[in-house]
Amino acid sequence: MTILYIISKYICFPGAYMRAFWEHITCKILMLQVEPGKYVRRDEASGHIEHSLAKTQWSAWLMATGPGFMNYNMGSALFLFGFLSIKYMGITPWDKVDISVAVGNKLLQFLHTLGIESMYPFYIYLIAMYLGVSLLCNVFPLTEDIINYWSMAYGPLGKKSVAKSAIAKLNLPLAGITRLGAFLDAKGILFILWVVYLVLEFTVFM
Amino acid sequence: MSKRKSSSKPEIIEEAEVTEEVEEMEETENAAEELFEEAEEGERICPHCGVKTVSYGHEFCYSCEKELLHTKVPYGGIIGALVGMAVSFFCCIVIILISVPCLQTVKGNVSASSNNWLTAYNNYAAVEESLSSITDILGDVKLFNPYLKVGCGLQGRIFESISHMHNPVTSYQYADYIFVNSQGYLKHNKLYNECKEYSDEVNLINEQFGNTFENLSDIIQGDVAPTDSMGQEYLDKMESFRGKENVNDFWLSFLQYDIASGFMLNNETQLKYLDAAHKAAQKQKKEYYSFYYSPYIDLLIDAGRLDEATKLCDELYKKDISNYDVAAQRLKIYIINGELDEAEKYVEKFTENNLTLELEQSYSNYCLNIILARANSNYTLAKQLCEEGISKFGYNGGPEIHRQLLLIYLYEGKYVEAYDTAIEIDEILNIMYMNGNSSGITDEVLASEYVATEFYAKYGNGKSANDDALEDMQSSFVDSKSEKLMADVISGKVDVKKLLTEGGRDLI
Repeated sequence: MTILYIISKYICFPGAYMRAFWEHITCKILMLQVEPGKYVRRDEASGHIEHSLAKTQWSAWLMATGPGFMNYNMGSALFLFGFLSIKYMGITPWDKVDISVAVGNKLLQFLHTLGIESMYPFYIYLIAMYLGVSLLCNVFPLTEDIINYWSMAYGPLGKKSVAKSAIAKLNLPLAGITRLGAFLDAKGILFILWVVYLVLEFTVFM
Repeated sequence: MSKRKSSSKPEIIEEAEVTEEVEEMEETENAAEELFEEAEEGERICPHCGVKTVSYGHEFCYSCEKELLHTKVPYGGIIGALVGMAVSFFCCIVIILISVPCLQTVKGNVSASSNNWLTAYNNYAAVEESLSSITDILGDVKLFNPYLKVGCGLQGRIFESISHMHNPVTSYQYADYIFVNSQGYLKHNKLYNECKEYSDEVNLINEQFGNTFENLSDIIQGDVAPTDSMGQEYLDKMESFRGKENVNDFWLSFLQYDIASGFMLNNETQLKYLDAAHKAAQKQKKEYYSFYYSPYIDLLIDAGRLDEATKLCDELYKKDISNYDVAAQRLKIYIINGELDEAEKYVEKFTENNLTLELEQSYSNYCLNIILARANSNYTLAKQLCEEGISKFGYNGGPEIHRQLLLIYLYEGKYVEAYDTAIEIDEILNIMYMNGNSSGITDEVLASEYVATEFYAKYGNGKSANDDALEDMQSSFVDSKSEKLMADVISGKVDVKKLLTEGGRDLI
């Protein structure tokens, strides 16, 4: 499963890189120690950074979901941009667009001198979809991070205020999904699910 | 460090340190135990540098903690994040812009999955309209233009919905239209392959029809001007070609029906040839319904073969639940059978399936509901629906709602109003004809206009300034297959009220 995980992180390297980047930024905001190293590497924490655990419930939650939230926003925009256009606007590799509809006269003249007269938007959508999926494959945290939040929010450790308990209870579905997602991601299953979904979407449900 | 890596590393380091210390303390177990006890109490070795001790409540030594708090964020990440956010923002705008057209496609897909092909077609066709209106709003903002286009995939879906509604020849014509408008570069994609299937089918039709027609051309295109008595003679001569080489059974029977219909031979003769055509198509396993289903069902109903007509209607309705002609014919069968409750359920179902703001379906819904209201003798509702429909659609949609209103006026004996409606019908037909659409000129429409004009001349205010229009309408009905029946209606041999309240509740 680790090999599958590492392969999936290399295939989805833009998303894995960005995920680790957002984690790094979150650690900076929360004043957590970060061990230097590559963002995408050949170990079971690829696409994440080595950092110390958050000390409070709020910071643990932010650490678990903040970077994923950023990846989710960027990823869903890119994915939907490509997916909707290919699936519902019916853009195929043979659809070309005259470049003059997209750019101003000066740029058009320049592009014409380069011999570029038309563009194939399908490939732009394809790249956007790949980037989107790679970002969405990396929305979940390391299991340690979500377990850290889980133990603080739902574990027996220490006394919790009424407000904190109430927020934790309200947050349970999202925390549950995050924990499940982190588990699936750690096993490389999330990537497989995405591949299966895309294959079905563009074959069976097309 | 609390990560996976950190869970094993400190232990190894600690063990190594302990071993060294144990050696230094003359390898005594007691001393090692003391060291472990100390470490547990808080004096651990820093897992990052592996040299200094970690004070209680901390994970790293002081200097490492300071260093690890200031690890550098790579420039690649910053650039990636900024570019990513800018691109995502652009994508979000495009998503918002194309959300409505995409929704139209989804609606089209849902309709197509339930064989509601007219609705599907309307939804697919609306995508391009939505996009062009968005482009108009954006005006000079060219940046989004390349992403506000319809692709070949959607054209393929439009073609698919058309091919389910029309015969292969019409479908192919549409496919050809797509290719002409697509600069030929489509010729390598899936749509081309789909269309090619139709082009093969059309080539086969052309070949079979052409060969059959060529064999019969001496009979059909003789020098002698045809007279009525020649109809049966032609048909008999044509029959002698059946089974010969290059004569296709389906097309032979279809041409015979065409001749029989052209010579206005009786319904039995016409039905005989359409029966033969239907059997030949089934034998050849070809779905050529669209060439002949409408007159065939009409003739089956006229001949009282209601079970067969019902079966054919139901079969065709399953293939395309938006087919108004089939729905209207099925409704007629229900009315003839006196199954008004069933008719009501049927109309309800049709209306529900076609409940959309698109013009054509709404128009069909109005027509069926008016026919049903007339069948239930609820003339107030029927008239109300007619007026509502006319004010909603005007001259768009076709002449059927006007014709229904005309029938109501005839039933009520309001011949002046009936004639005025006939004039409006004539205008609608003219508009349709000028737009290249002659589908509105049916026997039902001509019969209604004819009766209205004759009754107006007979019982109305006499001939008016619209003399020419009146004569045109009267003359257009001459040679219609229902001329004799209508002549009986005009002369009073057949009571128009009786005609409109019995059987199919229509003039013909």
